Amino acid sequence: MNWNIIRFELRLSRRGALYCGLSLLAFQCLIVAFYAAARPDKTLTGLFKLVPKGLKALIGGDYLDPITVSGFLSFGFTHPVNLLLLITPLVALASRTASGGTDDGRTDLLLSRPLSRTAFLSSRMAAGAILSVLLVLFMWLGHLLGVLFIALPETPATVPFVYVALNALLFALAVEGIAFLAAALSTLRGTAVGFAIGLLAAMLFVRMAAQFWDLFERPAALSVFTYYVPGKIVFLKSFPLGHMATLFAFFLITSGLALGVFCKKDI
Amino acid sequence: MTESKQAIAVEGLSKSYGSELGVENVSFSVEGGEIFGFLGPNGAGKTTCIRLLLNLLRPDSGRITVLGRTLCPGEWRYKARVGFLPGELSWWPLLTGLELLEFFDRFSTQPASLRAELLDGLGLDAALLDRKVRTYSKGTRRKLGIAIAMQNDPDLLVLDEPTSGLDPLVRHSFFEFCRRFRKAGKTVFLSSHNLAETNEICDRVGIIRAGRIVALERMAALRAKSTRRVEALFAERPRAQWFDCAGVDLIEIDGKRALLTCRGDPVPLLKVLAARPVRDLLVSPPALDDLFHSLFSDRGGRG
Repeated sequence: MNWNIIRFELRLSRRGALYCGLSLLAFQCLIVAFYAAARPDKTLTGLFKLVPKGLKALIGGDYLDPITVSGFLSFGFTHPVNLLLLITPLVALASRTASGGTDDGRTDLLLSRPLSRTAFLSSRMAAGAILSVLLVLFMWLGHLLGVLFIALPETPATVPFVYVALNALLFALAVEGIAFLAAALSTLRGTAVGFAIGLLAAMLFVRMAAQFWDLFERPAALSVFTYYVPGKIVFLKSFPLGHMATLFAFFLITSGLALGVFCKKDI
Repeated sequence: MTESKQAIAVEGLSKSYGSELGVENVSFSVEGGEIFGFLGPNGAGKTTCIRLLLNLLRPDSGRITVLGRTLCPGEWRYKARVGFLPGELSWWPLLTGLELLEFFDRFSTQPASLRAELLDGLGLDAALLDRKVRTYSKGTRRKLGIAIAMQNDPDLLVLDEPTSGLDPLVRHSFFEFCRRFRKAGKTVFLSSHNLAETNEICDRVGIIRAGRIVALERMAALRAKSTRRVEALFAERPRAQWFDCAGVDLIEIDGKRALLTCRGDPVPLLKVLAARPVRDLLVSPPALDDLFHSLFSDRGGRG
């Protein structure tokens, strides 16, 4: 691990991460404000009934509970906008690892310095992990500020949302691992971004398809979205250890594969 | 220091990209304290060789030794003594020049002892270094790259087309730094397709074409092989048979003026001229272009 690389990567991601972090914070506040303004009246319940089954699966599935404060607020963590803001900076950071194609000289120059490829990539991954923590903190802070400063009919329990934040962090790490693997396999940055987005979209599709067809139930076990379950955590008020462990295993396996590919490839 | 030792030794190096040939059976060595020019047209395999020297590519076959270390997968420690400038460099546009100088300096165990002199010599002032790299011209980006490569006084400099985009004054200044490196027993390996600058700065040159080394010579020997153009003005109209001597070719006679080429040793031509009523003489420098042109056009393969 090289601290110089970690700092450098964070410096490069600073602006994009700040915009996404602040947007996550604002979005979570907005979700709280929306609940405070709409209240769980018939209109809101009716609106949720209109949401297609596949999409419901992504935002809480059987555990989707738009009536209670906690249930509605957990929806904010799985909303597509929230997911997009969380995933984008991580894919952008990881995609810098793509190399060996049209030469822009940057990876050449970095790897001409005295550090091993393993140290180089693991430092970049560490920067990604720090970025994940910061993004999740922004997200959680937005939720917290909303709950503190916007009048709600009842105060949601804190502990389940701490679990949700941990679940979101492990989900972000798993996404980071996938993005790094896609980048290690790619020669161009654009390809790496496309590959990572494609993989994540395929995982999302499989997760949605599993709600309709049994055929997709087994492949859905390979989707990171299956294990990102804020709705379930809030509904059951329990720590989903199995899901957390699976997301962490995703991170370890994809990161390990990315390291293996990157250390052997021609730059 | 690498003086009197081989800084680089390459033996039977081959690398292909699928069906496309990168380099084939390349062998050469670079002595410590030498400025070595690696010449070739675009796509000849210069950058592939440089990437192999930096262990960024895995060779299909062959052996590379850099600063006494034989390269194998995972070898990176020798890079602490190497300064590198890539041929194409997009940089990081949102960072400042100073941030980049300091970032790359932090990798080195040597202090950036040459930085101040380099910045002064290359015309990179403090105000410029505080600006973001995206505002830099191509030449300024190149100068920053040179400063980064040289600032820690490395034992070996590997520079891929370093003078591309530099104005003549800065190029002169860069050459002075290269000569200082040589004087200190350090080695400079530079790739180029600029023949004039190689002639000006290099001690020895390797010429690569279509992935193969086609010539490996000292610059002086290469100059001796190359052709000089000689224009002589006589007191009377010269005759063609005057110039019938080794290495001399008559191009044309125009009134009292004769246009000649002289290859290799100039003494036979000087003897001819000394015996004739010469009024004026113009000798152009060795035309390396002609020699390279012949090397690049005589043999098959890609260019």
